[in-house]
Amino acid sequence: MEQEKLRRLEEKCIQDCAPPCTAACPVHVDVRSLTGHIARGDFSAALKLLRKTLPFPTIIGSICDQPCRSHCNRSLAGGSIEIAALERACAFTADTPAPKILVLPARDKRVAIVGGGLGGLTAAFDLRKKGYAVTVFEAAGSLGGSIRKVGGERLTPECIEGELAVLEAIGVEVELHTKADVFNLPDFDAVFAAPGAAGGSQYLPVDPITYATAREGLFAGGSLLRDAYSPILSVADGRRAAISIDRYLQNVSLTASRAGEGSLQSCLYTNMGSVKPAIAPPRSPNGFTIQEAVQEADRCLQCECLECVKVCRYLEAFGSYPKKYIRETYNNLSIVMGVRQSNALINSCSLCGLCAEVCPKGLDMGSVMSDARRIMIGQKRMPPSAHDFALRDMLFANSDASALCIPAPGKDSCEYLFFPGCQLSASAPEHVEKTYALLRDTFSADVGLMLGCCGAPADWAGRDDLLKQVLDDFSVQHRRMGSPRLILACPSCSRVFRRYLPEVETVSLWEVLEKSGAAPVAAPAREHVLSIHDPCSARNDGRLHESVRIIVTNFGYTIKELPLSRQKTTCCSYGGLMWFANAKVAREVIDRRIRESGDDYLTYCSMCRDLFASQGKRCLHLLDLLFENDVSSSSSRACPGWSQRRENRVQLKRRILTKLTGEVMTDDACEHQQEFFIAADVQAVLEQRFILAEDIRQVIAQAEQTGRKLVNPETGSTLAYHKLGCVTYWVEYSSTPGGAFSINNAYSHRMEIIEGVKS
Amino acid sequence: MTLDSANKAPWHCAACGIPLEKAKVQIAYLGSAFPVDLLRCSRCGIVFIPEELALTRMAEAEKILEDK
Amino acid sequence: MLYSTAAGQRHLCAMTGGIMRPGGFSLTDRAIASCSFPAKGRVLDAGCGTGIVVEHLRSHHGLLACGIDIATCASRPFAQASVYSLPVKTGALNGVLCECVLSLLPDAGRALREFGRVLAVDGYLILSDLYDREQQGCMRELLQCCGFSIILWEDHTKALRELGALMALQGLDHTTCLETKKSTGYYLAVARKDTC
Repeated sequence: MEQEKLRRLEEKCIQDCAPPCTAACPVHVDVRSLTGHIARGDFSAALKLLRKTLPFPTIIGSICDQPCRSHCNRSLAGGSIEIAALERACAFTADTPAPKILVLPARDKRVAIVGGGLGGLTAAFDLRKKGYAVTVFEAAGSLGGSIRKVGGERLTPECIEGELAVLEAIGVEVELHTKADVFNLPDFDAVFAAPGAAGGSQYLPVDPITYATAREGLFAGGSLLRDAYSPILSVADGRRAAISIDRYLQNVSLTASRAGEGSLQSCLYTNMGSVKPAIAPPRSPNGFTIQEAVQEADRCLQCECLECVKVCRYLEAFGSYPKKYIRETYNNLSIVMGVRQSNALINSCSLCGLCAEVCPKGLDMGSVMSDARRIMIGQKRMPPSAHDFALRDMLFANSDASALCIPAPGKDSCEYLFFPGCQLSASAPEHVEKTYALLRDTFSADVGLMLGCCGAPADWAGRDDLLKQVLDDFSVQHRRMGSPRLILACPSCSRVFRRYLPEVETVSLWEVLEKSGAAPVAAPAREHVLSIHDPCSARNDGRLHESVRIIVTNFGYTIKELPLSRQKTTCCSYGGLMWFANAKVAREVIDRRIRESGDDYLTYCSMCRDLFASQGKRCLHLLDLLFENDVSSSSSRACPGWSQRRENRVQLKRRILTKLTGEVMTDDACEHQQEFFIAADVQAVLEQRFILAEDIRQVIAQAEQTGRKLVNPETGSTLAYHKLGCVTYWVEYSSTPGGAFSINNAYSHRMEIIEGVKS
Repeated sequence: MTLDSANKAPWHCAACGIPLEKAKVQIAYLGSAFPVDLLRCSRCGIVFIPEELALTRMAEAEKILEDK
Repeated sequence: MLYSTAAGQRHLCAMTGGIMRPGGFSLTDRAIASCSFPAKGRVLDAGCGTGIVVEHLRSHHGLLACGIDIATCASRPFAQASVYSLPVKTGALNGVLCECVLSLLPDAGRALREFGRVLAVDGYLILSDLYDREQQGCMRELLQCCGFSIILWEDHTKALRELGALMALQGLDHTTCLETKKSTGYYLAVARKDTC
């Protein structure tokens, strides 16, 4: 991933953007943290935070004109937060000693500030902290300028003196009753003219960004630039001038990267959908009491985006948000030598695209993670354990044992080709047979059948090599059938074909069934309420969503929509192979989805159905409505295990061949296949460990052929191991009187045994 | 070493007909090799990896080496 | 110390052939190879533990090596001393090794300045240690601030992971000592003392 692309992606995530209040504040007070501290009753932390931005928090808290308030999101639900009043409350409430202000080591440059108003004093404060010798010249007999006029009763002279005492404490020199001539201060290296509202326009023109004047070393700003007095803008002026003077004295660019100063438009999005209105508490005459302040601060919405994190358990599980994840992913990919650390983050995403749907900027973390996987594969850094079980399952689905491609009986080619997908064949093989028969009976006699996998697992794993191989093999078969139109039952197949073989015409089985009248029209209403889970790969297929709902309604069911459905549906955790890469998060994803409604679910992807069923959710596949009389028991059908899924595919192929072509499959493996039994409790353990009956068969076959095995003389049981692919499988088994074996246990590891054979 | 269970394991090599003996065996993963004490047939070299070693300690080591 | 309990240290010791840190002697040898020490160069192992590396430097590299450790040491050429105050004359050494020690010190800069004191100009400082891979600039800057030029900087996190894997295989808890943070890594550095 190039830096440029990375930055573009990072910019799309707005979670880091300042909230509207902070953006609007010309000195960017961190209001959100401030209210956070106050809401927790921590006034000291609040005041400490204020002092980071404001030199004189009590003064500002008392007289701030609050340009922030009109931008507060709370204004839409009960009125803007009383931000200045909260600042004032914490200035008066916090029991913190006067802060020790850090002054940098002295620099041999002197700055004159002409005018002791808020702007001049802020500049004096900022520049003194940077180590410059600063002298303030004030024509009047006291500092403060306009603040003494606008302060009113809230801001007593004692209060002002107390707050301004900090200037003396850090070593700012003050010359009162002194009318300095800004053009004639030869002892100073720079001058800031901040004459306040009374000052004329003698210094103009002033550069609006840097406040530099045409005269070398003379800067001017403050109320003279405005019609009305604004305390906070005066502070901002002082700060801007101080930055310019510091840069001027260090002889660096005055104009570089200053876009972040002053009032800005916030780019943070905050969802107000579930915000309940709340109004500010009544205020005591002298401002908020402690309790009132806490109550008011608690009204702050703590604005943030996190739209994607709220709906995605995966994004939530890694504890941060996309901007950080993108950076982490990029760091991971750019490590050439050494060791990575974000593989789990990259491999756990379901690539489902929900984040892009809910993101105000359309950022799709799925495409980030999909790219990242491809880069890792290219760098040969993908851990082998991440996806290989799923990829082996794909290869098996496309192997001779279970793959099939036949035209309609008695023909050489076909007009339509039904492609049910590898997981429907694995989960409900009898529904594949029935659907194929139904299609030929009611839709078109000229429908062929193709069993196999579309290559989605390779696409998810980022294995373009395997994907290409699957698609090439598909294309050969497809052409052999006369390039028929595909009828697809699985939305993931549909996505793969549309994306990678756009020239192949496809149609969804559900649209075909809806239009051909294969589903009943308006059956009598039933009591049964169903919630529809749209599969994530059908997210953008609005017509498909409609077809499915029409069919379900025609069967007489009442549909209750889930909160996240259609375009905003969630993934069942199988997408992107999350289920294999991160079992823990996958279980949480399933759990969160199945708790969204107590009603039975209906979906049209077998993997979604089976995974929900695996965690106890009553869930139907749309084909259950067509072919099952007892829908209630279908919805609690167990999720078949991995071995069973393979076996289902194999048997499906056999049955279809026998029925439609009269061909009896001869399977070489079948002849010398050793019979063995696995008790249900052992089978459950094997499923959990991703150990297939086929793996066990191979271990036993190898052990029995070569005699390389261990025996337990006490129990007579046998233990054997064999490396298949990159996994070593161990099987403990016993002989039964009938000559078959019974499996006691099996386990596996990936570490390789280097057997130091003694000769 | 935590090989008590392995030391007591009752496995004999079926081909050689002798009990397994404790030995240092190299196991490797992703380009890194490690010596571990395992029971092994001193004649043909067949080894025994107990279930506990495979499912906990080896699995953990695999995870570390895969940088998960 | 990568492992804080005595039992853990014994295991670690056994696993790493006594050297008790990632990479064993291989990292030390690699670093020595990138220095050009004179024959019988004087080298100090600061934080030498049992002194196994000192023996190695003497037997395999022909260096006049000695070691100090804050813990009691058996005998010469080892001395009990703090890395903040080495019992060595200014500018007396051709090399200082400090492996897996700096990260434990509250003031690494002070130790580095002390190493600078005892090293002759153009003397070598060899470091290997845990570091936060997200902030590797910190250590490099500190070295430069203390008067060293970095001539070799390598990430050896793989060796750290291998030690973690080995500990996991032995059933030891590797999480407390090796993987405090996801970004924890291991580096090898060689720096040369600048002229002034």
